[in-house]
Amino acid sequence: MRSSRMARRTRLGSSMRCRSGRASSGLLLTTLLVLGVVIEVDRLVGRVPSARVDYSEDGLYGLSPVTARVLGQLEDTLSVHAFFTAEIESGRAAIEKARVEAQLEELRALAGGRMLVDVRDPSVDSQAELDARTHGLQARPVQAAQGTGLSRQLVHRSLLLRYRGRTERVAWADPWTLEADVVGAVARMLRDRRPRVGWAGERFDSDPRSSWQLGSFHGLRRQLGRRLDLVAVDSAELEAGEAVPEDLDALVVVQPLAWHPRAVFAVEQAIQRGTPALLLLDSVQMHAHAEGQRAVHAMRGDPPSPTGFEALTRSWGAPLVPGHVWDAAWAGERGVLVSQLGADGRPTGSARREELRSPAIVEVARDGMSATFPPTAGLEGIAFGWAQPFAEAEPPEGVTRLDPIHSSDEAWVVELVEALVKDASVLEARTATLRRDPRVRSALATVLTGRLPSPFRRGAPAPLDLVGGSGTSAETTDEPVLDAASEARVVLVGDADFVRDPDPYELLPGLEPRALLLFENLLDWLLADEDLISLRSRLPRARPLRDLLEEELDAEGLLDAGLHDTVAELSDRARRRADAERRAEAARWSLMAAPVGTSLGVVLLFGLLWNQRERRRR
Amino acid sequence: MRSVLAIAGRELRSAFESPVAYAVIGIFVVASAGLFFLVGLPVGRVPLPSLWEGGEANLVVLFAWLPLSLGLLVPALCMNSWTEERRAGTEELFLTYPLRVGQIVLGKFVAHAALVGLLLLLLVLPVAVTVGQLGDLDWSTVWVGLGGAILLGAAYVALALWISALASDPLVAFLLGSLALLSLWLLRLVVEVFPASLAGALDRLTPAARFLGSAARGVVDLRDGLYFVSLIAAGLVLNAAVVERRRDA
Repeated sequence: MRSSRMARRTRLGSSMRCRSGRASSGLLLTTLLVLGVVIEVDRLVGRVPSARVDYSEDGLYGLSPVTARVLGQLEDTLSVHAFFTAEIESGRAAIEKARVEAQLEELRALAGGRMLVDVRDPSVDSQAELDARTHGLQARPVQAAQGTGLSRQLVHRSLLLRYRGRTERVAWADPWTLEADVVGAVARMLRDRRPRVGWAGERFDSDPRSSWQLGSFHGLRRQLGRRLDLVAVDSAELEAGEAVPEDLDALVVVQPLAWHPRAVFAVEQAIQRGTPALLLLDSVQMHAHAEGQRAVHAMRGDPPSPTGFEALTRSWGAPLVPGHVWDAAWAGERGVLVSQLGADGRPTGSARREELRSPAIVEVARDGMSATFPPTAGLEGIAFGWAQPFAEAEPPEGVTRLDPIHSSDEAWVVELVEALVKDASVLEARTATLRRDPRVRSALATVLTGRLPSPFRRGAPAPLDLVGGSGTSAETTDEPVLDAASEARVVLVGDADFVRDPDPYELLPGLEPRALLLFENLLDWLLADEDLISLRSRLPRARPLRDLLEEELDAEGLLDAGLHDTVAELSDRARRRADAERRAEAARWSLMAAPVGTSLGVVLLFGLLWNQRERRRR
Repeated sequence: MRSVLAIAGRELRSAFESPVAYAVIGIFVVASAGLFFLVGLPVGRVPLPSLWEGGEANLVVLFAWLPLSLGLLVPALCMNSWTEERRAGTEELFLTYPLRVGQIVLGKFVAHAALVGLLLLLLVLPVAVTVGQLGDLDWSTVWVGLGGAILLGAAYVALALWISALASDPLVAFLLGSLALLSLWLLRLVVEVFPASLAGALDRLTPAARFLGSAARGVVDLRDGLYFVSLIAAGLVLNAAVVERRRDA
């Protein structure tokens, strides 16, 4: 009896265990099944044509209307050959590739059947590898984590675009710039030919390894060479009487120093013929000097015409000022090497990197960039070093002048500082001295449109003949001179250092991404390619917070520094400033406390009312 | 539907009667605001500065913290949902009601999702109003981000309720829930170390990536919406399966 009861209990226990085990395995199976369904749904949804709507005000995460307009101009099929490595070891590279593919899919959908995308893997397809190599598309090394170490893999992620027998390439498909890269390439193919841009002011054969030679703009030229045909225009040939080639779509003159009038005449006549021109006029040439510690000194062209273009800009109603801007409000901060001195006051031979805020570097803020001129409209700012301003003047009749970039209101035009000052107190002392003079808000770039009068209408300067000894600046010839001959487009910038090759030791801005953006925008504006400007300049709108301290200081009237204050006044100002700082800090904390207090208050109030109601209900 | 709402009402009542919910809400609001205003997001590939340090009128940092902070908040709010029923012995009574398990699960989900939604409203809107006073805030991004955050919170609720149904004890439910949700957040940070074929899939399947990649930037993406809906459905189905299993046992 007892044993049969035991047996029954054992059978019941094992049946329950069995049922529980079946239920557990069933649950596990259900879990796996459901997760599988989620993954499958996600995979299927990934195939659904993108239905993304960007509701943000900046609209940076959707395709731009310009993209739709450019793709809408396609009349034939655009073939996009994507050379993508399929098996990528790096997780990050794989995610980026997936984003590029998704964006290509969006572009394909937008092109409405006029864009075909063909993806091939050159690492497994020898024909694809040959095609990529033929078009100069190369794999790039990508690092991936492998176990505890790193592995390096050559990855292809390039695009070749074909349209009506023309080809363009995107050397590296980057998800952040893909739209601008692809649409820019399409826009170029829709043109009849690649733009030809003349380049004067720097010899093409200058040593690309050195960034400290006169006129070293290799990085900029390399960038431009990807989308334009750059044509060397030798100033020596212009001086000798040659003309600027007539088939140029635009002309760029970079940092001319003491150009002969004949060369200036050649440029001016090209502009008269209707060639749009971008002139980077900057007579201040910084160069390295290796005596003991690396130092930077300045040199300039010969006065009275350091660039050679002074008379020309004067006649156009935009005189280049022979000085540079000292901007106290928008002083740029840069790292400089300061040599260390020993106990005996001599250099120890070592140097330390220090941050220096120099008013000679104008860190133009957004307020200093025109919001109506397309090339500057979407830009956040730009840094110019030792920039020369253009004086205010009445432009000649029929000429319109617009100053799209200017300094802050707290700026002065000063004589060139011969050597780079690395002592912040010296810079501050100079600013304090300058505060006695009236402040000048200076134009750092100017745009001239219309029929420009020629300063050479009385006679063309004679060509320079070094052998025969003729060609002094006073001599003229009786050859025909174009005067207000056609509608001109000229952009003058009082700085060239912003597009120079960067140097880690120098104070000058160098070719930063925003500098390249400004330069390309200006060039595209001259080439009448405003679509590309708006596409490239898609940047988030600046939304700065209110400066609570500045508001308090302003309320106290402490923003304007009193240069001639007495000791008592200075002490009073310091006390009031401390009070203002305390009030600003208090305002900041009260602003932070407000949302927290509101939320907690609402929760607390709700909780009290709820519990009261519940108590009453019970 | 009426039964679902009745269960949701019952859940909400019990939530508001407990001081735990108020404490959790208070800590969440204070911590999130503190991180947003003073700390920023110092982790990840691109560390983000705090509001004062960045000086830009946007809620990027607030939204960037949500996948992590909700990963702690939601399990804390949901931990009692099933475990407490079981401890108090009300689960058996509950399951004898003439209701389908699906209705009970859905009712609990609606209550907790509504609670998390209200909490997000209480956090985001006052902060947005403050930032709006300090600068030119993009309100479209705020609304879309808020909607995305509510969807993210709802997905987390569905998963946390499932874990609560599996766990034997509220503390275990909280620990397991936070571990699971924080792992999903952490996965996004370390996704790059996985083999490429897995990295792409994991990145797509991470709720934080879905939220931060679109809604937090003001972008409405149908695919992300479907993803969150499928995640919620999965959580609810699994939750119902666990409860069914217990009823049958």
